[in-house]
Amino acid sequence: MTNVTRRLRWGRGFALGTLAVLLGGLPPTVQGIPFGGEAVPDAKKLEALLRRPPEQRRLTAEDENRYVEILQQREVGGDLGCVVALSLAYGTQPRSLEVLRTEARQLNVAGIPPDIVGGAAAYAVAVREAQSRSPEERFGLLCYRLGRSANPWERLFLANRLAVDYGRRAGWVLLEAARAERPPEGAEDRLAESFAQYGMLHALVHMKDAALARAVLQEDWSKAFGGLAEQLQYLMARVSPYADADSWSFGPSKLLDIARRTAESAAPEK
Amino acid sequence: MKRLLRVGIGLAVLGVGLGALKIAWAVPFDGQAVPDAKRLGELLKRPPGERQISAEEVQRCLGLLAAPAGSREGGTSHRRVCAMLLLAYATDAPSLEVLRKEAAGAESGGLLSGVAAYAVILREHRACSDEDLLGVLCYHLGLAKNPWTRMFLANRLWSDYGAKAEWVIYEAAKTETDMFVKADLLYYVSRTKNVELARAAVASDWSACGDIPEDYACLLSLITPGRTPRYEHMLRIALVQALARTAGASTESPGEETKVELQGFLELRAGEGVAGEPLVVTVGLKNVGDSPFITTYACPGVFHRTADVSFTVTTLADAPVLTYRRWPTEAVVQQLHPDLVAQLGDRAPAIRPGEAVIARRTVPLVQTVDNRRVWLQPGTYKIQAKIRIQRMAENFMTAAETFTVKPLAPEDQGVLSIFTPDLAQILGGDRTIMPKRTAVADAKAEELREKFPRAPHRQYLDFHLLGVWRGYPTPQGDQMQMAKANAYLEEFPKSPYVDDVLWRLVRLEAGAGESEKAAAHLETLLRDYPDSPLKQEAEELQTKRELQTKLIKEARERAAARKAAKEKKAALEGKPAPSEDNGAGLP
Repeated sequence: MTNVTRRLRWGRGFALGTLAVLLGGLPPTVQGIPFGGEAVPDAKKLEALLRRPPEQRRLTAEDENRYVEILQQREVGGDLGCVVALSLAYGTQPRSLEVLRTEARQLNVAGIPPDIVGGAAAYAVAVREAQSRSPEERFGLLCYRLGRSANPWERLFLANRLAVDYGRRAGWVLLEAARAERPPEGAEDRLAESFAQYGMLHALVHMKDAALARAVLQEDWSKAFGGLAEQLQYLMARVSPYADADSWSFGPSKLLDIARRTAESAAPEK
Repeated sequence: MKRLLRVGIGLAVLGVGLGALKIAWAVPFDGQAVPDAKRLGELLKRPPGERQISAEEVQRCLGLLAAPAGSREGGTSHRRVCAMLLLAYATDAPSLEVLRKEAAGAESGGLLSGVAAYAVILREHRACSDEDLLGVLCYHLGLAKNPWTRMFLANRLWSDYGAKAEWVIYEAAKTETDMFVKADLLYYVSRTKNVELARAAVASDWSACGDIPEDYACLLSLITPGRTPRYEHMLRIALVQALARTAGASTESPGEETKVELQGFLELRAGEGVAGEPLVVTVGLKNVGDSPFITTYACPGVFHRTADVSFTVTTLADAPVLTYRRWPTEAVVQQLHPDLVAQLGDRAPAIRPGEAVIARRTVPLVQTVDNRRVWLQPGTYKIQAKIRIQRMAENFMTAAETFTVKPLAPEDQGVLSIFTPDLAQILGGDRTIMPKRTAVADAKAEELREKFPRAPHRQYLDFHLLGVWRGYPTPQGDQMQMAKANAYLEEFPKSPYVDDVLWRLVRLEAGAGESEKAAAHLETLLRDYPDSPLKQEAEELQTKRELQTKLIKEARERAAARKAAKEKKAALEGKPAPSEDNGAGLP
């Protein structure tokens, strides 16, 4: 099995799960694809890492070496591969950066559906390359990369990075990025892109900014998928310290309700 | 007295008129667009939140855009571009609609749609704070599919945010695919005072940068603080030189040119070869010493000086890549050290000490990285290299040396004048054709490489590009090409393309009636390049020429015999001999 097909299997799995949720009537065994158990400890480590300020996020040498080994294994599961790639964004060794670059190059190939581990690896490369820049410069670089990225998973993770690290300041960029999510083509592309847009909506409504909320309410979010597959909910909850873990189970309409409340609460009283 | 005064005023008016005309010649940016460009420049000097045009200006711009392009009312593309750029600072809804409509096809890469797309971005984020706008502009710089949109976004970022946006512009410049925009972005990067950024930028490959067209160089200079209208094709080298100087700013002993320490690399362009096969490679040099790097550029020119420099071939990791495909480092490897041959052993059967690697088109492939670069095995091989630095490069470096803290500040106009004569010489004195011709030339470069299947040797390509695409279909153009070809033969006698150049020269000289020279070059081609793929054609021409010479000789002999017979007959009959100009003689 090639790297690409191995990684795509995971994407297809939760894509089916999501469709099942949307269709509403399929068996819970399909709906509830659990997050890979082997990846849970490392996902929790990543969560702890992301609760620190950006400058203090550093993987231990031991973890970094282990993650490099995992990422290079041919049969690594998608959940674990994704967590490991996301975590390596905070590595320090040249070797791990090289491995990430290789993964990103091999898994992001024009003409094949976007791959989540490829997206995570490309995201991690972007974060690593901006690591030594000042917060201001890093902000610009992440925004630039968000615009340039061809992988919706990478965009999802970059948007998440901006939301977590820069909060309200990234609001207009995320709104712009959500607007510009490309029209879906293939089924898997469609899911990935809609997830990216959903992720941006999620971040935007949690900024609790009235002007942003009003702008959000004026946009068309019909393309944004809600009801993420359980495994993606779990992953996104780990990497999003700005929101309750439960909020990743909200559909777009519930998120828009939050935005509406934010907009109304800030409206001048009549 | 009054009459004298009138004459004086008349002359003064004429002088001013001619002066204005001279300016118009020197800057072929539509003169009618200049007021709008200047207005834009003034507007952009204000803080972003205070930029707004008046209702009258909006109406004037809309009127211009509503009229057919190219018409008297619709104006040239320069005027329309300026109108759109001004409308980025309007506040009314109709102008935004007009811009959106114009921007609809921006992805196709058109100029006007690209500028409109840029203006729409600014309009739609008018309410954003400066901080918010920085992120939005960075995002769109990454997202924009239109190079013109990217160009103006980068201009905005650099002008309004300066150092905050430098790394983003650098990232964008690295990945820019449009050669003109790439050069434009490199300009902003080169202004940096950040040593770390300069070092990163110096190690990047800028060989794909093109020339900045004169008209847009002018527009950008009008709307960008401190920018001068530089457009010549040496700009890229100047910018990298400026970066190099900034990169070397923190070293303790910069400028020791005589002790430059160089690392060499061999480059194989993608898809040009297969491991184990003989290849043509570009030998490049990178200064790894403390001094800001110098003396590693070469450009076409007549004169050169040589300097023996030893350098070390090292691995990819140790030799940051710095390549100039358009103006490559011209390093001719003269001698391979015996150690290298010993080290390579069986892998280098074709390499012997004293042979020129480039000329033999042979390189031992030890390590291939991404099928792009081929490196010699890590080691400390000493290779004697002769670097040819030609006059233009020297001039340029002299100019570069005059750069101080702000290398390309307005005061460096004098720099331009140093190499303008060389440029003028190359371009036949007609600079106005340069942008168009250059664009065609560059577009044809790939075609040329296919036409001449051996790997590119830039001077050779330049010769052809200059001759075929930038030259003139006139006798003067032929003379230029012949001079260029002769200079090439003199400077690169071991080039693998000498046979091609000789063949071209033979054709040119034959066409110009210089048959003696053509015959001599044809003979050289046949004698010295027996393996040339042009041999057959050359032999055919040689046969024709010999046949022609033989026929002419026979005809002359016949004519001489007839003339002698007539003279003999006339002498026998006691008549005067026929005059020389009576038409008798040739058959």
